[in-house]
Amino acid sequence: MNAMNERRVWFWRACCATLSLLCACAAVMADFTDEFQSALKLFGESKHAEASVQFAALAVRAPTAGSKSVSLRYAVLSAISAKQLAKAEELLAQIPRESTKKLCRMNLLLAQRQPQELVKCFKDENLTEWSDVHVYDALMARGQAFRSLRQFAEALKDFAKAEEFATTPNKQTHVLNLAGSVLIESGEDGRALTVYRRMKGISSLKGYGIINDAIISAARILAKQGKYKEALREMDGITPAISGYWHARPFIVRAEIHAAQGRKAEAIENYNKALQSAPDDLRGSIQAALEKLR
Amino acid sequence: MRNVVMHRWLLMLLLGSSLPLSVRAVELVRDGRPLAEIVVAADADPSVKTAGCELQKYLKKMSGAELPIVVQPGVATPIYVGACEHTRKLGITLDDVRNDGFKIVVGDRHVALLGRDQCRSAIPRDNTRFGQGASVLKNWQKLAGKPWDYPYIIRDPRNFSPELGFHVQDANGTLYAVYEFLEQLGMRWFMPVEEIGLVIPEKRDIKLTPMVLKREPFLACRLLLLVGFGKNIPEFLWHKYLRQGGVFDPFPSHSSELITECQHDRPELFGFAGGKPIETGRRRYDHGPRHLPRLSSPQLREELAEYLIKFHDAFPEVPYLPIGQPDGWVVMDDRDVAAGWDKKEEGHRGRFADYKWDFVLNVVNRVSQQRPGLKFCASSYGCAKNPPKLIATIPAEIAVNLSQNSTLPEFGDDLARRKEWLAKAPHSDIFIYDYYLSHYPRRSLVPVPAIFTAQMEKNFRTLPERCRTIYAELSWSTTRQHGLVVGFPGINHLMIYLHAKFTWDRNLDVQATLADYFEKFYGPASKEMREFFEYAEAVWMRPEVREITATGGFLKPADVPKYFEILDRAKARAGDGIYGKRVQFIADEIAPLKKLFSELKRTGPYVRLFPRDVSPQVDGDLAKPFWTGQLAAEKMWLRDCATGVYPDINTTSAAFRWLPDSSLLVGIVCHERRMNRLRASTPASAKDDHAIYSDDNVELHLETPAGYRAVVVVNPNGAVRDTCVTPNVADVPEAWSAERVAVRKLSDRWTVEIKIKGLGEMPTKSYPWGVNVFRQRQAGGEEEAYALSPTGTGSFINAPTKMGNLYGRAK
Repeated sequence: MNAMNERRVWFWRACCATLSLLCACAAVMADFTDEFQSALKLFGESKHAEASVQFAALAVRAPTAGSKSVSLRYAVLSAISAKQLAKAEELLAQIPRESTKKLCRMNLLLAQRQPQELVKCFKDENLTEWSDVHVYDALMARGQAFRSLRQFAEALKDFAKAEEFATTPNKQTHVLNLAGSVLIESGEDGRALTVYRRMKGISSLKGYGIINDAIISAARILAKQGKYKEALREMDGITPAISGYWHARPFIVRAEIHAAQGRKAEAIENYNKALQSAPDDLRGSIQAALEKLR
Repeated sequence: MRNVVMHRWLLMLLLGSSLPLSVRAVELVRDGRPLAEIVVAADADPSVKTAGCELQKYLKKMSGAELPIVVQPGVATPIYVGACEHTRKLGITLDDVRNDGFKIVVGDRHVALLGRDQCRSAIPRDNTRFGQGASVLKNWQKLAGKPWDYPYIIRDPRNFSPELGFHVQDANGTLYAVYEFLEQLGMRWFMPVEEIGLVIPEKRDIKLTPMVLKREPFLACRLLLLVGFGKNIPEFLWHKYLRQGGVFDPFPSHSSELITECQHDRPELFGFAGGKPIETGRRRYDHGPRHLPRLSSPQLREELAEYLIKFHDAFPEVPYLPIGQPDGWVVMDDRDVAAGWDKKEEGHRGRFADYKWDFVLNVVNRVSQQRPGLKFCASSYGCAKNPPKLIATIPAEIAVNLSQNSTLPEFGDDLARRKEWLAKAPHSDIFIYDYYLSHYPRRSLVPVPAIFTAQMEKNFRTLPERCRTIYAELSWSTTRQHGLVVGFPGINHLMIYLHAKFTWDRNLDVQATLADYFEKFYGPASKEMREFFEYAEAVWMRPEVREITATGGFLKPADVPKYFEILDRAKARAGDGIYGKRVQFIADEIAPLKKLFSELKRTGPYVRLFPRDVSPQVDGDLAKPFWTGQLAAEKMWLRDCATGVYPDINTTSAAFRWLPDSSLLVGIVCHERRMNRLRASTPASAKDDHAIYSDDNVELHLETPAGYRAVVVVNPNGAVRDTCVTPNVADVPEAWSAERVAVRKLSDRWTVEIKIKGLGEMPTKSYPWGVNVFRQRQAGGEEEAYALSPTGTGSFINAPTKMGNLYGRAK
């Protein structure tokens, strides 16, 4: 073990010991629910190393097999996000509930870039028979593994099933977005267009980045097919923000469509509009595009 | 004391200069110098060697003199510890001593402290005959030749002390003799906290007059059921100072579960309800669902008989073979119910009694045909706590293990039941299993002294001669404060001490024992501390529920300052020395009470109750206009009961309405992806059936400012169990049973309407009602629990402070 790893292990153990002690005291003073929520807050704030330690400590005093499994699931996910894959493996082994353990195994295999192993282990599983709370995530994980292996038909089957279990607009958009990407990768632009248009129809998320991206993807498919007018009409679905990225980006895409159509003036006009509010990381590419047009 | 035999002319134990000149004395210590030696045989039992060391240690603490420990007597006066060749030559035997009793013999040139020491060599003292950890199961199954769980509660290895070399449940008569001897010299060990728990008198001289004292315990087995004594030697020895242990292992297990625990692929062994196996929790080894053994199954009965024979062959020294019902058993197999075995008319404590005893007698017959003359034990417990009606007399070879709770005001019920059992089993040995778990962590009891001396006296006084054993499940520590296993030693030690004394002498003089305790332990503050414990007993014995809430429970707000007012007076009397430290120890232990009532405010959310000017038909339909078209805020969503996370699938909502006839209407929607897998074995026609707890269900909990607490449980069939957990049920208005409950099942949800009438005025924000709604979801195959106000425990009960606050008006 190199020095860096030793330090990490030492840090991890020290954190565990301290937090176990704190949690033991907290067991008397604080409530499991409150502690879990505060760990969840760390997770939401992307403080993954801390969150993982806190969830692992919570698992020790979790009152039920279910809450222990959930605590450890979050501990594993946090460890994965903190790139502590060995730790994630160790935590995973402690999960009492089988379906939770399997789902975490899937997440870990994806993080370890082992999609073939994931598919090998889980391709014959009927994931819809798993605990309802895990079905969506499990289908998404396996679908992504299939996608990495370029087994697009299998990936799309999983994503389609996942959509049935997507109980929130966020989950639904997420799965449709992935399905759209897979369809494009597999050359099925027509079906991808349908998927992106369905995303556009999810009204509760109108204005969110992921929906705007879907509209842009749809417009690009249309432009690729030479349907420039339709592509521009598609872009009308984006309500531009007052400033910043989502103010500039629709103008850039419009400019690209005009440029592809050979309408330089309109393209330049849109690029210039984009420049008025574009954040620094977009400005360079806009300038380059303008140079090219001139 | 009746079981103490003393020679008339040798009775008196005299100390120091008070010795009359006419009586010859044996001097052990003079002016702090040793005049005697402790003789312990080289091959003595480890517990006897410990006894020698304890004697040396405490004589030194008393007098300053360190008596040498030798293996052969020399020139000094010998104190023989344990039976040996020298005691035999002196004609001192234990032939006339029963159980793990002992003798103290003071001759004119020797002292002998010896007792019956049985460490039951056939079972290794560290309980490792079948290995340790995972190998125990493997080795047991190899021996048994069947996939049965091992008899894990024979003796707990966690109560074995590797340092001392014996088990806390062993019979250690010699060690008891030494402690009795020290006690006669004035030593007391009231509390397992060494620095302040011991009373050791100062004696520069120790002289004894000749005497013979024989003591025998009333009960052959006296067990305080705690685990972990093996790690803490002082606490282990405190337990032995209390003379706890026993001459056999009673082993009253739930043995039917030992057959089924590892055989979940054999449906013929299990009970079914609604076509599905009845679940009773999770299995120990693979955490899969644990299924309920069906006691009428011929295969189960046959295998249990085989098991008991194997067990007897392996452990012939265990005198009673356990025939046990499953733990937490409240649901019966549908076929057995149809056959008339579920006798609801006998009440909750008696409905399964005939069924269970039919099983017990059948297994006894099967074993006795192959191994005549064996003894058995079976418990009075759960839904089979009452004696069976169909059996005239319990055969003498079956010992009856009576479960009881002698700490609570309702103990009278247990005593009446005991009387019935003694008549039903006139020749059987009797065991007592007593729940002393007053501060058991899951019961969430705050550190209130649980004192019940009068009831304890009644308990022991009424035990029959044929009672052989008593186990008491004690409070244990969750914090490992002071490194102890015993929980709250400051407020619990007195009852444990008294209990231990009673296990040796059921006719104990309680007043004399308490007087000795108060005087020796608290010195100048004895009067105040007596007042403290007497007040604590009066509080504890109030006939109200143990759970303390803002509006209910046996402890009242005025009790707390009273406790501390008495303790303050005691501290002032006791000063800063050892007596003051003891008083302070108790004060520190109960200090959390000071904040109790201010912190008792319910911590759950405020829940709005909306008044309506019409009363709808209660039909379970939550899509009717009465419920729809309202604001989103009128609906509360349930969260995971432990983590507090809102689920995004199979969600549950609850809404509350106040109707013109002053009734409460609650609407609950349980979204469900797997309606075809709902578990609902209890039919709508079943009223107040416990089986409903194994189903998918919703529970509504309410608590009014008057302290009435009601629970209504409903399953998807519309079966209802409504109960009242109010202190005195007779005071509760009839309205506490739900007036109407209706359920509807749709393709993707099931919905419930519960109407409760006659609760009084609509609750206000100043005087809200406690409220919680729970949903237990079983349809997913794994237990899921959701709550309007999560309890943090995953459990639905005993969380009154976690309730939400239901209110309709601001004032």
